[in-house]
Amino acid sequence: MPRTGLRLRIESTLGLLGRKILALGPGALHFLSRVGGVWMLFLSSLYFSFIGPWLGKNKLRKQLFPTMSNVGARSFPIVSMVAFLTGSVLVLQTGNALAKFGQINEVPGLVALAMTRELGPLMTAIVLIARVGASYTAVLGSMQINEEVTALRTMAIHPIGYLVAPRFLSMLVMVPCLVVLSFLVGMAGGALIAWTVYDIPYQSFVERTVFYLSMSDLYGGILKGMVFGILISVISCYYGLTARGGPTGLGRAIMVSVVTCLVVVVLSDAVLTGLLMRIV
Amino acid sequence: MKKTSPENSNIIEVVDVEKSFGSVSVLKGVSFPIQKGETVCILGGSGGGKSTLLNLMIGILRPTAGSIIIDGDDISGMSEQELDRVRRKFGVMFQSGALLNSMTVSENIALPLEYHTQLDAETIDTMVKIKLHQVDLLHAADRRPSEISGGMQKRAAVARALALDPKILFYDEPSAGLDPIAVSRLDQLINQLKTTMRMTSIVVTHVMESVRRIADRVVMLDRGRVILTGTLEDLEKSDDPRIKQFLTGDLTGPSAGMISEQEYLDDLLL
Ligand SMILES: Nc1ncnc2c1ncn2[C@@H]1O[C@H](COP(=O)(O)OP(=O)(O)OP(=O)(O)O)[C@@H](O)[C@H]1O
Ligand SMILES: [Mg+2]
Repeated sequence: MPRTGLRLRIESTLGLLGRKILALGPGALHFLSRVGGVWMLFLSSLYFSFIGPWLGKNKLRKQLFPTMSNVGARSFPIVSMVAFLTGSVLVLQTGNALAKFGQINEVPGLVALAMTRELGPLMTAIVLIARVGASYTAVLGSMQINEEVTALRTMAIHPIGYLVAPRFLSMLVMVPCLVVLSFLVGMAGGALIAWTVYDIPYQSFVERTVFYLSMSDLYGGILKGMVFGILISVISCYYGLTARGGPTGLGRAIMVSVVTCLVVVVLSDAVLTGLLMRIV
Repeated sequence: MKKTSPENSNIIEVVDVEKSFGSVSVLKGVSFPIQKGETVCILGGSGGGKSTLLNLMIGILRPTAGSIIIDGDDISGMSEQELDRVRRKFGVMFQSGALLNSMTVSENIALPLEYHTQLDAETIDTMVKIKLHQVDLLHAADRRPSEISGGMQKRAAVARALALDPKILFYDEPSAGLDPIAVSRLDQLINQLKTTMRMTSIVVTHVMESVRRIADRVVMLDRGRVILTGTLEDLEKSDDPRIKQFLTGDLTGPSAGMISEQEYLDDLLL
């Protein structure tokens, strides 16, 4: 008797567990289909960026420069402001702590490493998610809802070749550039604080920075920039092209896109940091 | 790929087309031909499957069964790349116009030319002007779609659809949201294209006045089935209560928003 009671309990527990897992099913499937969709979009963006134009499948020339200047030149002010402040705050915080141990001279090296390896790419990516990613989703989403994407298809213009490829390429090229600029501006911000608050002269700040930094730190940052550029452009275009359900659906798509970009960028930053430390 | 015989004057053939979304069957065995140079109106009540049928004919949706032959090519099984070749033969005017909002009207019309031809900028400019003149919109060339009226947007969309000199034009609800004069103007344009360019037009519409002005033949859809193909006269003379109700707009009749018990059971068991 007690055995059957036990069995019953186990069975009902298993049944409950099974139901819970089944209930996860649709959500998990949905998640997987999104991942699959983003992956497919990435592959076709690669195709339409590097192969399609040569085979005459799509033309990039006309849209590439406007989108590039939007991503690059017009994002530069906000990216540099954020980088400048990040560099300054970093010096303030670490300087305060290091001064207690009489290690104030280590501040430049710390800032340089943190900016190139971590904060430069990450802060740039976060600014671009808000400034560029959100607008990609909004523009493509409203085109989708307004039948403009369908109209492109009926004109035998591939929407990925025409809409996504130039945006993808712009981010792929411009994000690493912005990341490098953010290093420089961040260091400048750090140097300014180091000089005004901690009396570290400008020359020795530069000297210490050069001493600490190796090329591989720079490469690591640039690599991160490229990966973030790819992720942000593909994810935000994906959510734009799959927007449904009128203005409400569009608003939701933008929100989901921004949140997804943030999570994916922070996650991939962690993974990349781990990988780069192992390799370099 | 099935080729029809050359003496066949049907430029489009819809053969036994079925379309379901999931378990919902929207089109059930739809067949009709469209001849070169005629204007065919696709009529039917809301939810009858008109837009679905149009999207199937332009290769945006794929049929669950059956085939759609456009100018000799069966598009139902085509890859997107093969479809692009067929798509050069027709233009589409969408219900909302669907002009690209980021560009001016003339840039919109230039887009297909820039994308699909090797013409230089000057030639494209001239061609855009010709198309704009054709739809009487030269004065709005440099405005953005959001800065012109709904009727003008639709005429601009027709100009864009005409850019590559297609043989066939599809219109999705051209008269929706327009005042009666703008509707007549658009109808006049459709008729002009027929007489001057022997354009084949397929027009999805609800508006009977418009149908009377432009249609050579009509295809009447009701809940996913063709209930009539024929001339306007056939339509007006029909004894079918569903068609009579559509023409008069009565509230009582077979499509009173309620379906008969037998039909309900049929649908349920299908
Ligand atoms: N993508 C889709 N997924 C599921 N069902 C759909 C889809 N598109 C259309 N339907 C269904 O198919 C039916 C026919 O729709 P369709 O848009 O073709 O009708 P319609 O004749 O164009 O109506 P209206 O005159 O209101 O535009 C509707 O019941 C609709 O709910
Ligand atoms: Mg419709």
